[in-house]
Amino acid sequence: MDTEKRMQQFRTMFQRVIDPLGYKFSPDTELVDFLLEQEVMLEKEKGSPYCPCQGLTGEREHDMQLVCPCIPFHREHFDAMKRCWCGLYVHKDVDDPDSLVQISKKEFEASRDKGQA
Amino acid sequence: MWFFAINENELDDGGKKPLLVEGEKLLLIRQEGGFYAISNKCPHMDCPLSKGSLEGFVIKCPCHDWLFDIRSGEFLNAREIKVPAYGTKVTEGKVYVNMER
Ligand code: FES
Repeated sequence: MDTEKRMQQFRTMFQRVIDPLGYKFSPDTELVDFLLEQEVMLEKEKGSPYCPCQGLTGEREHDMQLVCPCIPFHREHFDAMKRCWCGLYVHKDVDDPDSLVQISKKEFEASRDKGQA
Repeated sequence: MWFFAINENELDDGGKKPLLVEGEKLLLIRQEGGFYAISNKCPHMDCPLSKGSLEGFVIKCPCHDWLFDIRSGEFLNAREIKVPAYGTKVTEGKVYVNMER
């Protein structure tokens, strides 16, 4: 299947998943196109459209939580940033994705743990 | 609207069967004596849930391991996401599925 066509299928399928979670595709369409293309390549190479921004370990349980859209598995962290790691998805109320601040996983976990203490 | 699915004795407890009812791909499951009908298409990327594994009331999609409760259709990691679930009834040894959700 050609890349364009598969990218279009990803858009349709992933839209269905992210919408009830309060997310949308980034308004940065160039970024969205780039990332979806990467995911098509990853699917061809590795069998699934993994997150292009994260490393795989080869351990199924870990890697399956990085198949796009991985929001359900990392939601707390993404909600804190209003975006996913790649910026492919943002909260529905975000118009200017460049204004969002990235928080590393480490930082996020540290602040969350502090909040609970 | 209720549609005939299968005869009750066609499915053993813990068993699952993909069906086509009114043009819809369904998965019928018998568990702990009850019948449960869900869409056979995973809401993630449309993989057939019939090829997944069933443990209790939870089915695991064969493609990327998403887990769904067969009673409600809910995805366990984000309950807002659901595989369509349909009502079932057994009358005189026949299992019917309610295609109106
Ligand atoms: S298609 Fe079912 S988990 Fe991905």
